[in-house]
Amino acid sequence: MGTYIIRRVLQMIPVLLGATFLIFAMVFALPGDPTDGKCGERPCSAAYIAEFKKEYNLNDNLLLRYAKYTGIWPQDRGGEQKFDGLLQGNLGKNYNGYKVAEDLQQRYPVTAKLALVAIVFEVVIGIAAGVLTGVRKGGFLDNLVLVSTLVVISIPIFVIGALGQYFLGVKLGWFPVTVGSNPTFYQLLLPGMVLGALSIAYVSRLTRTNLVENLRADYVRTAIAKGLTRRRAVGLHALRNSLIPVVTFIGFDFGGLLGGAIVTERIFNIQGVGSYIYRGINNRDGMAVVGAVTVLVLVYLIVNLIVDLLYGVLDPRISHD
Amino acid sequence: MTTTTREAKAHANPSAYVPEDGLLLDVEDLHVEFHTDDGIAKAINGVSFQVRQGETLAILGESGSGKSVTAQAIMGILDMPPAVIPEGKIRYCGQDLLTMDEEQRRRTRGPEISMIFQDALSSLNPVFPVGWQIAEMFREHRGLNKSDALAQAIRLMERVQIPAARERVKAYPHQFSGGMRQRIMIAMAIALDPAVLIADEPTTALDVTVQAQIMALLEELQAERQMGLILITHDLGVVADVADRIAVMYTGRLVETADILPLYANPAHPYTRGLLESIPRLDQKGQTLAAIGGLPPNLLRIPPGCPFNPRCRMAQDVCRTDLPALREIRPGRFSACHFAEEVIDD
Repeated sequence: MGTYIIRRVLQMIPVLLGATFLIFAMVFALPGDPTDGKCGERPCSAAYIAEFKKEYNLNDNLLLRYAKYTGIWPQDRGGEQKFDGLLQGNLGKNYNGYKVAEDLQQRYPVTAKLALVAIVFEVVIGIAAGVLTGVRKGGFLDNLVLVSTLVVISIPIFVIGALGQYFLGVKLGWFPVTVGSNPTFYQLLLPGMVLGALSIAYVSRLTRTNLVENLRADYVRTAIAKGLTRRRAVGLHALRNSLIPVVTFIGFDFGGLLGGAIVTERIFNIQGVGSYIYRGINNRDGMAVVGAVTVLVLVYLIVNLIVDLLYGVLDPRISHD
Repeated sequence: MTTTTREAKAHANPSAYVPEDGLLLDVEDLHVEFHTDDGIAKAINGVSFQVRQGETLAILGESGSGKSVTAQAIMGILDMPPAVIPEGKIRYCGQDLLTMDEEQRRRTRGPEISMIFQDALSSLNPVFPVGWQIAEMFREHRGLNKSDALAQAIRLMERVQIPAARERVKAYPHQFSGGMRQRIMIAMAIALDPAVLIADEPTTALDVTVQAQIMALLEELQAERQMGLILITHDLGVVADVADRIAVMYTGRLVETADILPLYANPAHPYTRGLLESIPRLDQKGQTLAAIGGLPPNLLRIPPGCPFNPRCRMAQDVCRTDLPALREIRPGRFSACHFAEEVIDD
């Protein structure tokens, strides 16, 4: 177990470097000059541009810039050559001069909160729908859920988001239409539901399929033959096995949701990581985008590792030794 | 188990008292049908037999003969639908299990009648420790707390001779060998001291030496607790040493029932004779092994007359038109063949 974790953590290093390099290369390949529009209606002065380019190493080639960004190559810091990058724990400053780490510190809790709301919806509604349809395969509810999940899966999230915002927010007034900078869980209910809608559909189908399959399993027959109630045979023996892949899916999905939800955050004006990245791309703010994505990749990798470890706990047949 | 403890138990559960004659299970004219898209498959067509205290009844037959369905009907674990029981009675200590409400019936599973399945690996839940699965019997039926139930589980694992039971109680099914897993199934089945134990091909998935050990264990437990044991198998060799009586099934009917030794010596039905002849024997080395030609009929279209007639070497016209009834041809010997007397004397 211990060696497994160490191996996985070591494997993260090349993945993290590769992912950050790719995003680094892509962001700086975007057309447009980051100094455009920095100085109001008129072009910036040559001195300002020179200073700006020096500050952000924009005169170097891509590889050298990346090496400086990751901190494996020294860069000029107030006249001194210093290693000052990711390896030193520095995400750098965005083009407005704010520290990316501080920006993320402010925005990450919002995204995490939103992800949590979405996951709770997935778990509660998705699994409940999956169980109810799984035990009564072919019934009215089964068909209803089947059709509605199909609808949800085939509609893009910006449509669901906009419709939800209009009907539940504007027309019915049940939920706030947009969300402020420090949202409460209540304000995040509607965005969370929209964000989780697709996964609710997947979770309910995954649960249903696995439950239907496991209900036919020999050990469920054994459970009945042991004189257990049907409730216990289905709700404990069959469900416990059916939830193994579901929990795995939810875990990975949570990792993905922690990466922010650009569309949902934009629709509901949520000041999370997703909208931060969106703004970064729009403003050609490479530092902001790369910094945020680096953190997201790291979070995703860690969540993945936790899910893999959890898998071994859920299914004793899987061993990490 | 002695009669006194059985009576003490009867006190606790008034539905279960063993009659004077020790008759535990009385199956009468049982029919089971499966309603499928292709039509009605008649899996069991009027089966009757009895099991007494301390008696071992072997039910013998090919795949699809209805022996497992019979067992599942007794246990009440058939999937209904598609299965339907249009006729018949299954009396346990005088009470018809088929007319009981589901809750009452559930309470008989485990403490009164219990069952061992063929494939212990798939029959045990892969995600729970074996001790937990045995202890579940005590927690759900007896209301024992976790640690007391686990202590009982360890006691049972020791009883079925699992080495280092105390250390292995928290292990999972996949961490045991096939024979040990079947011992765990047995421990679970005998946990609440059932009066009737049904073993559905308990040794089929095991290799030969382990088969013998498992059969010996079952025999020992049965003698110790005076259970009625129903042993379902397709293997004549497995039952020879253990069973008291044999019931041979074919297309959902009993074709012959007899005490074990007379049946082996003189089968009274061509099907039984065919089964006996198809056992490989060392003294017939080099000869072609006799086999029953053909396949069992499709249960959706059972032929008229005797269902065995298409495969029977002795079949006459009457066999193709009249269904032979199971009749007593010698004291204690029943056969469903028009020519049973000729077969038995052959």
